[in-house]
Amino acid sequence: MTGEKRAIPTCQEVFEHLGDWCEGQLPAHAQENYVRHLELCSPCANIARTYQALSRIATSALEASMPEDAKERLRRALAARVCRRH
Amino acid sequence: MDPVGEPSPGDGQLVLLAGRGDPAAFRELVRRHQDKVYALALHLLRDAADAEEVVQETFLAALEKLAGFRGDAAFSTWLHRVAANAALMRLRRRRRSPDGPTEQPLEEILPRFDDAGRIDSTPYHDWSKRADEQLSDREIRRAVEEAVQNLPEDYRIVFLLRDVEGFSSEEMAELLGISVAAAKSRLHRARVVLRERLSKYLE
Repeated sequence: MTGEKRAIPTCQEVFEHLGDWCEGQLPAHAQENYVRHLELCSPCANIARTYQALSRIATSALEASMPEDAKERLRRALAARVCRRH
Repeated sequence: MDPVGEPSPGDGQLVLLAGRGDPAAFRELVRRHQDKVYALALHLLRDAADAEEVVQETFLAALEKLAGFRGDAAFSTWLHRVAANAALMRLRRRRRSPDGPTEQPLEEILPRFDDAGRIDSTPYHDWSKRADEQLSDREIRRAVEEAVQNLPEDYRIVFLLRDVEGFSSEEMAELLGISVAAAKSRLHRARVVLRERLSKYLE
């Protein structure tokens, strides 16, 4: 992935650069060759899709709301601080 | 939109009003951001009481700094950075649990490649769509949550900061006091381990 001579990266190179590919940080020429590899190699394509999906899946699964009693304690703590400032 | 259909003021406007002493404006800022700040602290700390304290510290700090903010994005970005910093400081103070998750050697998880760099013959499946479709299933959500929370701590933290909370690689490196290259490398390892663990469940 470091030079422009090789046309298509190997599976190992594709794996090592999954992070850069996910974040759109591959140089343009490398990006084209990377995508070409994924089009031709289903194991790598499947690994790449699941690797890329991790952020989306985890963000959805980890949604959390602050409990109402904790919100009330926060409100009181902030109100007390505001009172002390005035 | 507020109840009479007027567009709600942006954070920047609320910060301006709160900085001039408008308590309603500050309450609205808290209302808007408290859940996300809490979620960030909760996931990093894995303790509801500690997370609540971090939320309080964060908004109390915000109250003191209101005059210094400009623009809609600045307040939210600052708030999340302060909360992450506070949570990470607590994590550093905690003694590492001797029975916490340990790092599985990456070699045991990585695909194998031959001398020409070709991947082994293990069948790798694309379970991403299935995961998306089934995330409403409580059991699946719980499995994903457990897989993230059971990552070795260094991996868990980078994954949460970058992939869940959306900090940039540079911000993540700064928060952790490591180089950007080291942060990216750790994140890649975290994703590889998490992908492997979820594959066992979702394939």
